[in-house]
Amino acid sequence: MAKPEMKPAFEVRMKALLSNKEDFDKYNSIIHTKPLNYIRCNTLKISCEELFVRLKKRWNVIQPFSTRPEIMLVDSELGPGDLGNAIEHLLGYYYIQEVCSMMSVIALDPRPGERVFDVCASPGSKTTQIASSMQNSGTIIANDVKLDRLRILAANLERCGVMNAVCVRNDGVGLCQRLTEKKFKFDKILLDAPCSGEGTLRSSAKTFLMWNEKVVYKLSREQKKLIANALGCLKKDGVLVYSTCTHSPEENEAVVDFALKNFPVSLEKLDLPLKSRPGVTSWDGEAFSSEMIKCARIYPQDNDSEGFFVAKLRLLEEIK
Amino acid sequence: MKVEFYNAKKKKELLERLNKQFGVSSVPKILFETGKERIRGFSGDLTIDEIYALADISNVEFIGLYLFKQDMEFIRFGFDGALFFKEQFSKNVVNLTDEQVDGWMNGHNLNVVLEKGMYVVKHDNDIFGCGFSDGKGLINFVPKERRIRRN
Repeated sequence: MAKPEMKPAFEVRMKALLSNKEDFDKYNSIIHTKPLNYIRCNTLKISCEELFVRLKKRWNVIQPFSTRPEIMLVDSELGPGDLGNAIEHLLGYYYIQEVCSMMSVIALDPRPGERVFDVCASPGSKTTQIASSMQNSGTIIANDVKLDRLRILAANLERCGVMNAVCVRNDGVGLCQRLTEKKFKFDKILLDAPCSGEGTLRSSAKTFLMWNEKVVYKLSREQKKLIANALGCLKKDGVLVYSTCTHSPEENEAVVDFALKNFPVSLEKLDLPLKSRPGVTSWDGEAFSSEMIKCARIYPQDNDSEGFFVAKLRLLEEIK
Repeated sequence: MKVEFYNAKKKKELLERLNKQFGVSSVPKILFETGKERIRGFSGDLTIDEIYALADISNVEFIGLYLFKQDMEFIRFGFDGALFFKEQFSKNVVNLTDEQVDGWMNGHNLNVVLEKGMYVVKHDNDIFGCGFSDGKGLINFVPKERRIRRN
């Protein structure tokens, strides 16, 4: 079977984002390779040291970031299902998760005792990561719109021993509005928005075929609605992390810029263990705030990972 | 949301049973039954009133973690719920050998003769849920989705 290629319109856009030819060629090469096998230790059930020792007996396991021992890379030849079928996985000692998708929770930095709202929570990789950081204290409200997705979320929360979460099934915008009306306020909110998935080409080749420019614009409108309503659920000085697994500026900087221009928020600089590039300050004739350089664009060729976008917003005054 | 939150009296009764059966001496602050005698625990800081208020404005589907099921005779820990009480188990614990772990995680019953009753199954620091002894062997309760899959 021929390897899937970028659609012409997508290629034009990516060339505009990666204007250096060598850089684009590296990108175009790596997106046709399989991603590395990253896992995250579930510290609700086992310590990083103990898990590392156990897994090391079976595979070549590396902890690539000294400040983040929970992130482990399994650098061995694996057969299909090997990671998912290991006893340690069945016991919920680790979660199979792409490294760049761990960045949004690292940016959010949830602490024990806080109240955290995960607006689009399924399948639960980030919710379980949040629970792990909170050591099962405080409260997580984990929302998703579809029951079948919520069941997967619930199964993952069970496997990871998460006891501080309430799973709710609602349209994100409507739920945010009702939470705001009832003055349910959160210390932290993760808005890992539904997106066009341009960053997931390595693990999901079907994205090459499914990608469509119209979908990018449609999603951008929905993401703006989501962020506008989610901000209403934040406490003063609360943090909202906006993330996507896509590169399109319409779904990233344009959404963050919209929030900056319409709500009392400031953008904060990120300190992530992965190499990232600053957000773009203009796209397709539209200028964004110069603050966008505080956003993090993660490209596959920079870290041998998938692609991702993260921005961290702080609410300066409560939205009534 | 159809749940029945446990009051202090019900919690005390449950704790007495847990203590008698497994030596367990403490349970999460919020416990509730979700039907079929399944009991879940919530370790979050939302109060019961706040949970009801949340249920008024959203479709609450799941809360907390499934801990155990109680019937007339025995309490049976859920596969993940059991781990929460790991440090407290002092009675009715079966220790698997290295060789037995694989079979147990494949869903096989264990050939051991024990008194009739529910047992927590462990190996070193790992807890593998519960098994029921009918006097002839230990019946496996590892959920299908948590068993080792044969390719």
